[in-house]
Amino acid sequence: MLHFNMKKVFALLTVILVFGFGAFAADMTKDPGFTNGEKLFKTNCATCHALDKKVTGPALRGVTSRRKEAWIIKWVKDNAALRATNDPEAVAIFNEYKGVQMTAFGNLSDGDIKNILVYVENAPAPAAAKAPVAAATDGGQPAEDTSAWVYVLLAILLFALLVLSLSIESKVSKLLGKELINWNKINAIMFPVMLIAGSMYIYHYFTKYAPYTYFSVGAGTEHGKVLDQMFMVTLTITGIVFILCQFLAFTFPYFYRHKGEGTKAFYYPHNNQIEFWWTIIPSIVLVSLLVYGLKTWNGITMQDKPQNAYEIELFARQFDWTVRYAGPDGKLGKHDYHKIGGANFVGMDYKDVASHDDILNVGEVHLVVNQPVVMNLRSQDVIHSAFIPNLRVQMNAVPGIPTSQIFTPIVTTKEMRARLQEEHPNDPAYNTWDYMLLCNKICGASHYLMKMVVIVETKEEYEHWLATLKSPYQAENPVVVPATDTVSTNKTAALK
Amino acid sequence: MSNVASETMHHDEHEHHEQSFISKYIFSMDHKMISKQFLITGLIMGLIGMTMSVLFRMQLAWPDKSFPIFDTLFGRWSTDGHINPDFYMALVTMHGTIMVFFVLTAGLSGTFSNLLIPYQVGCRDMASPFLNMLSYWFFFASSVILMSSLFVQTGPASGGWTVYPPLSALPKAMPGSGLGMTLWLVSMIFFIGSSLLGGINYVVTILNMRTHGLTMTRLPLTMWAFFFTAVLGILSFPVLLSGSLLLVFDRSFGTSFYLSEIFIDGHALTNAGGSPILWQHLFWFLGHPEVYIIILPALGITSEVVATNSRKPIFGYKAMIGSIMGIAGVSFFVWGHHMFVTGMNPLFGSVFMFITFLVAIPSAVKTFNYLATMWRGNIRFTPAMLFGVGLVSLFVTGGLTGIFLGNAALDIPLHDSYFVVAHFHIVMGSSAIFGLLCGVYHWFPRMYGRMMNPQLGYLHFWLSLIGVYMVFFPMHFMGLGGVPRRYYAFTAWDQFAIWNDMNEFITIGAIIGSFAQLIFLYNFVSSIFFGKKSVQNPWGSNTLEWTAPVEQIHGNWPGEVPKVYRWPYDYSRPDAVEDFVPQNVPDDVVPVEWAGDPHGAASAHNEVSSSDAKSESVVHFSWFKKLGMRLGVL
Repeated sequence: MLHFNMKKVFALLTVILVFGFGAFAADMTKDPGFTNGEKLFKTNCATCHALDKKVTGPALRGVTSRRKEAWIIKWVKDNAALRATNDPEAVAIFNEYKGVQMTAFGNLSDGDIKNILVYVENAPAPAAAKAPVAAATDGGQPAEDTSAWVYVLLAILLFALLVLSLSIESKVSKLLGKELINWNKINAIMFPVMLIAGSMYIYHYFTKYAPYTYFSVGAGTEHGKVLDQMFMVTLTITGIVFILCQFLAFTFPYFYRHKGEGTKAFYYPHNNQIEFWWTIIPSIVLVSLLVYGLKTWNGITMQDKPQNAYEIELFARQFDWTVRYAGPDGKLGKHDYHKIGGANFVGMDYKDVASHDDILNVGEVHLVVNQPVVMNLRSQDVIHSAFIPNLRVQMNAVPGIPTSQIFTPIVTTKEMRARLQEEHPNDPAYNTWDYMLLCNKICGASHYLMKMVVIVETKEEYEHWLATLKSPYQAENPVVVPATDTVSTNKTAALK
Repeated sequence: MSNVASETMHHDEHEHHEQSFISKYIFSMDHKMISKQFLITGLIMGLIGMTMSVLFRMQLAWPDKSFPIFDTLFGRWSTDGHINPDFYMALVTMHGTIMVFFVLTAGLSGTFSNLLIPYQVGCRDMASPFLNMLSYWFFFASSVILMSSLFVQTGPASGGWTVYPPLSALPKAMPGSGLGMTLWLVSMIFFIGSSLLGGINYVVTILNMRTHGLTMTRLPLTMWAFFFTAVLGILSFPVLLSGSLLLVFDRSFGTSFYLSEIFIDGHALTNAGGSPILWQHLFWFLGHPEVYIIILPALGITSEVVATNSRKPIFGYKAMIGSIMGIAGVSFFVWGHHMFVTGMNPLFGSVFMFITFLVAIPSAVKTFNYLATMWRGNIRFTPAMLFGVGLVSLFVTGGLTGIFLGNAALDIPLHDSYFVVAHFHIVMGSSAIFGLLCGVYHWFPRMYGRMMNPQLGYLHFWLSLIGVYMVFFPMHFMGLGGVPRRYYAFTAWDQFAIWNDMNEFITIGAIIGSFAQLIFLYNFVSSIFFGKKSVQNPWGSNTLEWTAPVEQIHGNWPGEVPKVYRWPYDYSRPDAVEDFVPQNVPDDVVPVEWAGDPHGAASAHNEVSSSDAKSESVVHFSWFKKLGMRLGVL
């Protein structure tokens, strides 16, 4: 049936495979500025910018050829100020993106921004990097594609071989008048074999990945600890049932396989007693789990606002998170979505005096350790969900419907980072670890980039950080003189 | 009574054979042809859905690699061999929609309800062959509309298969919410039409057209499963229909059912007073029964196949019926467990959690009964049996994780994570696919008069089992690591970098699993034309479909329809010569009741030896009540 010159086929396969794997050797930039830039880019810029694609903001590759470096630094640090100087380029960008304002990154130094630019301009474009090598193999066809086809070809060949040998087997069996291979036995034996292989596989996964599940280092909140405990109880119970049922499901087929013509099954249609017990026992177990779960659920969701609690508001929109703190008066001002615009992009209603001292911050929220917080959620456009895995906190932000969750962080970021470093001493990724809040309800194309850093810290650290932020109302209606002072000192400095 | 009437009515219909190509193969009203139409459409949709999943898994596993095949397939939806985030979401959405509705609802229930209901209740066709034909063509239209949305300018719907508004209601929120979403809704409206037309037919046929002697408690478990599936569909699909219409109004006519206080694209919308959560209530009121619409037929098929191939009666026949009833009944009151973190009143959360836990009890009973059926059996491993056992294993694995997710408190850290993805893909995705494949292998001889190649079937099964566990088992760990679902990439998340290896592993598993399905497709298609000719009853089965001739004829049986004397699970009766006693074997050949039953077990299901409908209903009620009380449902 198949008349290939096998030598030629093998030679071709070898050539394709060798070149196919050669293509994996790609060059990486090792410049320290590049690495630092990459990190800064991912934490600060990637939420809104991609390298080669327009996302919330413009694509950044090639930005240095479009604009001067000094201009970029100014823009990144405080684009509102740059626009205020009526810089034509800045105003044009602002208008092009329909008044969506870019966050000001006053915290980045000039060096940081330059590093980011190094990264932006030199980051490998995934497709381009490999194309030249690929072209060598077979005239234009990129290499991965070719090696993929080799696998497809091999699979088809193997399959043809299989079909061929099966048909030979069945013909020989027919000639001999008896079954050549006892398929029933092979299948029966496969079950316990799979059971053993599967157990090893699951064991491997447990030992390898369990330390990376957030249950291994524990929760960062009070209610999270209760949840972790309940998780372990549920895991133990279901684990026993799992092992028992899988064991039976994979050994019965072996023990009770058809063994030959004489064997007959045991006619046993039912047994009320056994049915009764295996209905009642699961019921009892489930009811106890249920009571346990209900108690915990009510404890988390139906608690009154604790006396020492403070309120914050998380404001969600495509595709970032903003936190609103109540300011010195301790009260979050009213809001109205009609008022959204400019610096007041969360739609505070300034008619309510309580909103005048409210403070906003995009992309990072600070929480006080050991103090309950009422997290109110609001969304301006579609449903988002605030999910902080390590704090075991999750609540949807629904447009038009206020939601909230109360929780008490009990482990600071620093402590949790130390715990994780101890757990994974060889993994440098944990040196910069942070609690993360991620959007967990599909909200659009950049859903996967919608994140917020959560810092849990002591009351002093928290207040110190909060003092560095300004309320947008006060920024727009400056009643305090020192603000203009700093501008004039800057001017004099510039004159000198 | 009515079955007698239908019998006489149809009696001479099978005499005339002259049918044009169109009325025989296209606008056919024959349940057998319609079932083939459903199956083949379902398999094509399944192939598309599966291919989509492999492609987006490749993008997810190797975000920095370039696959030129994406550019070839998706054109401008792909850049430099990378699927664009927008289209990635569209693929995920289409994969979900296709698999849940088009493959596992229409492809599974549509195929086997149509094939088996008339055969197994012993009638010549469905109660309304015309509605049955309409049901298929509504489904076909719906499939075409959904597929056409792949070709519109703004792309297909991409807000997830649950299409939560406002995302799905506002074209400004994402491009997929434009025309693609409209087509999704229109397609769904047709689909619901199809499902209702089919469902009403199935219920009526099972209730009214059973042959002589076939009391409800002598129905094979497949029939019970299909019956409750149809009831669930009839009661829940209309709710999705009304929900979809409201969404159409919101999208096209400026109403505010689901919209309120929205500021998007620089403008404040005027919509006020709506609730996005309302859609979730309406959607999941269908959505949860829907998962049972998917899994019950698979369980019914498995019951039949496991009993036949273990050569043993299904253990606890009535407990099995009771648990199907229990699952079906309870499934209407658990929808809120999809919404624990929406900010819904926590009291609702408690109630939904309570009822959700109830579902676990009948599910556990079913699993134990399957295991008990295999115990001391004489098991023959046909490909169908392998998939049956595979289903039991998957049902256990996926069912147990439901106990975590049904717990409202534990759902807080697990909601919408990969743990959920693992849970439902195993318990209602893969399980139901295994049920579908189990059914195809088992009833292929009945459908096409030929046998499928068993050895390729074995290979298909083992590769599928390995594939499924490779793909979905690791996802539990990812979920416990806080990895969220529906993310295009994790490149911006340092803390998820640890899962990159696992993501690659999963994708390789998906490729292996998909490859196995190609073996199946090859086997399926080649066996239709070149398979070994089947004998009339190749598996030694008791149910009525195997009493009909191999050649499919209009009206199913050449002479009288068979009469039924016994339940369908008389396998390995000690007092019978053969190890099976078909339902139409009269009492005087093999007694209905086995005298030597040590537990009085056999007597319970055959208390009524006559086919008197009245005394049947009395018995029916008493055991139902007993069981209901035991299960805590009543």
